[in-house]
Amino acid sequence: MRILATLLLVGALLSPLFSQQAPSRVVAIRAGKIFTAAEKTYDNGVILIEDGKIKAVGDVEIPAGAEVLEFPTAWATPGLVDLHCHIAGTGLRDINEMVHPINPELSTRPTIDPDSDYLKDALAGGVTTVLYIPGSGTNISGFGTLMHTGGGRTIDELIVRFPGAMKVAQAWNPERMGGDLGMSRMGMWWALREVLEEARAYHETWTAYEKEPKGTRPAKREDLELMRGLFQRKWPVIIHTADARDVMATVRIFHDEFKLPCIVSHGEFGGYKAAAEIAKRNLPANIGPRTYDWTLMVQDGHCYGIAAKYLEAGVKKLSINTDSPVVPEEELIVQAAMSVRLGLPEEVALRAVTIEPARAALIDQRLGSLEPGKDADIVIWTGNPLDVRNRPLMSIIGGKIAYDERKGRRVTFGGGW
Amino acid sequence: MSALLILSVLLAQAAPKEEKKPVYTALVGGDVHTVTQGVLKGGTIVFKDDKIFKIGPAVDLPEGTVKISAAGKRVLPGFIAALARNLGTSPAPGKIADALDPFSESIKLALAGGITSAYVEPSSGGGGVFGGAPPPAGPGAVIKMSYGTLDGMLLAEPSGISLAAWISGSPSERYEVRETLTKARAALEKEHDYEKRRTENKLKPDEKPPRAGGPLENYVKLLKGELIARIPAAHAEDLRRALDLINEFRFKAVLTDVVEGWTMAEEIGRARAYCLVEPRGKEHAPRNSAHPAGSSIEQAAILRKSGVKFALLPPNATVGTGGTAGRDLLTLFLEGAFAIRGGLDEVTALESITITAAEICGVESRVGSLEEGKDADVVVLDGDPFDYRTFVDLTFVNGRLLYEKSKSPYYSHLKSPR
Amino acid sequence: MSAALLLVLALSQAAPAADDDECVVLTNVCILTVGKGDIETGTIVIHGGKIVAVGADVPVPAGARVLDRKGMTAFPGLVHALSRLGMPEGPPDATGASQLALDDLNPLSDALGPAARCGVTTFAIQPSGVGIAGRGAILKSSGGARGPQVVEKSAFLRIVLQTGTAPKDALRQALEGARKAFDADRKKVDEKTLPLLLFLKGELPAIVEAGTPAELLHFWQVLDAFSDCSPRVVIAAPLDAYKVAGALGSRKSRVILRPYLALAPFTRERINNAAELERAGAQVAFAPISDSPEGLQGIFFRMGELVKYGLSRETALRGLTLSPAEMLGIDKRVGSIEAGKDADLILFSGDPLSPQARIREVYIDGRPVLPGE
Repeated sequence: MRILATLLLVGALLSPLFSQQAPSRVVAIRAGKIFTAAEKTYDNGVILIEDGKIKAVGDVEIPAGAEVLEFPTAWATPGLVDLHCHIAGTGLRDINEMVHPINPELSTRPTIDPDSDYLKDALAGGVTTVLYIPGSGTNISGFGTLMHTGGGRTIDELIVRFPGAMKVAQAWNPERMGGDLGMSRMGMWWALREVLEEARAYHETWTAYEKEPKGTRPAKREDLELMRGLFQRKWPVIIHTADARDVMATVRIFHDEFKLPCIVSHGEFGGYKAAAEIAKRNLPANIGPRTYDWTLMVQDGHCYGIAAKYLEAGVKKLSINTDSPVVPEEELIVQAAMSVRLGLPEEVALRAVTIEPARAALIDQRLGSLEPGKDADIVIWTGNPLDVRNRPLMSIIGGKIAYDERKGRRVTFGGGW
Repeated sequence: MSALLILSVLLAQAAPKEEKKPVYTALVGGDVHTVTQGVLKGGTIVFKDDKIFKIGPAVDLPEGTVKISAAGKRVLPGFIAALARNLGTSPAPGKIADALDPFSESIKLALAGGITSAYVEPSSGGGGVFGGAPPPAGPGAVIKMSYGTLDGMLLAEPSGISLAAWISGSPSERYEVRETLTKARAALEKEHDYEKRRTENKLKPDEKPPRAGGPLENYVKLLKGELIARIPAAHAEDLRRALDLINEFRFKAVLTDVVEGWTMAEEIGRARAYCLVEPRGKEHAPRNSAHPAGSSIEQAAILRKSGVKFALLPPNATVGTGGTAGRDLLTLFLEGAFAIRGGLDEVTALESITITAAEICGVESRVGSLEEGKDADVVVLDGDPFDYRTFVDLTFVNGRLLYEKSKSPYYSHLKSPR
Repeated sequence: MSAALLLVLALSQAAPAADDDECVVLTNVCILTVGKGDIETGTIVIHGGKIVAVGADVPVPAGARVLDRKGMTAFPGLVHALSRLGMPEGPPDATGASQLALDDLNPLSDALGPAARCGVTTFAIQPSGVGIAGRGAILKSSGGARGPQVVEKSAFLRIVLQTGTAPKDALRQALEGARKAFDADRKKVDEKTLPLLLFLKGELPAIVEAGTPAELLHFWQVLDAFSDCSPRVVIAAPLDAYKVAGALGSRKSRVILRPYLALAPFTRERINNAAELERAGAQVAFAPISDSPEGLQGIFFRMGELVKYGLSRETALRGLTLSPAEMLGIDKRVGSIEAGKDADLILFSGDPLSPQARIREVYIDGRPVLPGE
């Protein structure tokens, strides 16, 4: 009897929040089209969810007792991922400490506002994960947080991984006006190298000590602690960079010299001219908010799609961002659509807002595609998400519905600069 | 540049000397979206000089007609921007007519976006990415994107006057507005009285018709329906105030910068006021708001249900080359797609960037739809106007081909993905 | 008028110096007459400040001083139509049709000598200011202690166009005022209206400076209302005047350009402004962009570039000499190496458009100003 009671209790506790009736552990979503961002795309396929994870995708049999959600004309995609987000907190003033040029001890985590209207807009726009990073007012502005846009009420409930990445801004913003190193690229590159060398030495010292704890314990440094994870390749450094010269400096310093996992972010204003170098090193490029290059660096009168140019140069790890609030976070899919308009293939564009950013952020074992074992972060759209006339009906995070249009459509959409 | 384009520009520039033979141009085989009279699939539209001459399933073409195939494409009226900044004019005080710059690159860009007419205002400078635009320095005008010539570039001036003071002015400025309208109403009554007595031959000897001068003149025109008032009214209180004035004096008005129009669609409908709607204008409602507030992407659809007519605008009413695609007038037709996302029907979406925008600017007798006798301002699209992949193939203004995608450097490297 | 200027005018009208009686003959020189073709090896006879004879086989008069200029190329002195040589910097005290640029000229200005030695033998000074700025004058350089010689003190009206309603209305009103006085007794017309009246009658040309092609279109809107009059207009056009090539051509406009290539917007594609205008049917002339020696010497280099990119050599060479002379109405006197014209000559060490060629000698009214007397 006690065993049965326990089982019933456990069963009740384990029931997902889908239905109030008989608790079922498996949910099946059948959708007109399933874009997995993995090998195949399925017509009229099924996604099986269990315990917050994807159990199976494709032409799978729905087990008895599963709760079934039918979306015969809808598309299902992985929840969208944006690696360049500034709107998850309490305002732009909160993400730039512009006293010192190098701030590895700072992070965005304490500034997260779980109740933010902007996060709710993002969620209703199909963006389920963002890398919420500090601004580009300094060379190293701090560490960003990889977080969900909904499905939780506290900061900790929203966090996917902290740190998400270290944020570096390499030129076209952090130029100081004086009183500190960094007025010119000479000073900026020097300051970056100095801290990277210090961090590497710190990491090597500690690694040796952890292997064989003998002698004096090395000093603990809060500001360099998180940088160890870069050298351990646990999280990447995301670098705001601009024209071709700066893109080259980025790949030279972070990849060639210090061998860190890095993401080249923005890369606009003619940055595509250095794209071949990014491709050679097989580095990820994170394009946005600008989707085209025209007057500034282009000299033949053509309006070039930036993502298309990077692809042309051989960059395979292509992701797209909004740099919200420059472009509103919920318009991440519109950024992808505009990139398609300007020459990027549709498939590449959809992967650029799902699996590629997840890979670049070293979180793809959990997110970015609809594959067995990964988190059930899924968005149901009224049709092809790239067609801006379509919209999300439902956003699911960790197997739970975080946004449901049937319960009330989120109507605030847009804004931006 | 194509031969046809060069010919167009040079012809327009040649000083008119003798009577020229009419030039006929025909677009053959496209789906002709007239906007006011349905879609003619695989039809033909013919221009005679600067006017639309004939539209039909098959038209006998006069000898010498320049034939252009529109097979597989859609033929639409040129798009109309109900508001545009930094487009087609030099920044100079005074009348728009004297500040027109038909060589501005902005015009070429607008043509690439399928825009053939726009409402512009003389600016007093200022504004920027973070700041809103200051009130206009004078009445607005409607201009055409007639690159290369001043002839036929000015469509209507003045077209609209701003009554911003009624919403954002000081109490004395607001008082001024009502006072001037009251005086204008009295002046109009005098005019009517004069007319009545003239037809009944009851005029006094040497009596001249009364003429309202100075700023009063524009207000009289407003009451006569020859001008439209533009009133910025974002929130419910502003809208209520604006509607009060409109209902009291019964003039043609367009409410601009409308955010919370969706919360009072019926009242706006009853006042017969137009709206300028930015589908992607976003404002969060205050947390403790007791009533519906803030912005809604469904605003256009809601206004439509109450019979309110509106024109659509993008987040930036400029032709930008800054790099963020899809946020300015270069993709005006995309704004219709966002209104559709918010529940608007496709027919109204198309009207809101063509004929209704023309009505709002007071030029609907000339532009905004494909009808015989109207101006030959026409665009040919390579796809559905609300598909994010669609590009403008050809743009005609006053019957002249001024933009050709395959010949212009802007987008010629982009093949239609269809 | 300033005392210095009065003195200079007096001097320039004084009896010619003893040199002027001498007959000077340049022989074995390559002559680019500009007016009548090129002479590979020829002779120029100079007497009394004038060119007496030019040709391949011209006899040398008895008693003449013969200068063998083998290896050199003779070219007419430059006519600088848009000059501010000798004029003060800064905004003017007053503008208006009654103002004369000559009143502001400093005839002893340090800039005049170097300009002459760069080959500028005739120059037109512009009054400063915008709108109807005033009337310009045409002068001959001297290069020496003597001041410049006035050819015409009220040679042309200068109108600087501006964008907007106010300047357009002002121009229109001024012209309408002049038209009202069309048949009036000239002595009774006020000094502000008279120059405009002469302009409408075609007796006083106007140099109209446009900053943009759009300004030209607006100007024509105003001017076309006076098509019953016969005004003579010379347009000082901007670098993107090619955008109105069609209209400039069909109006057979006279256009003065700065000698630069334009770039097509958003690109590095060169557009040969002058060649486009000429192709459309306009007449083109060129003026240096600056009055400094660097700017003036540089003009031949600039013209070479224009020829390289499609302008005909003939138009280029004529554009510095006979064309501006015609536009200013002084072509009977200067602009080409022809008998009867002023002996204003530049002797180059080679072809003027060759980057290696240098100016070796300059003569004005038969007097050598380079290398000097």
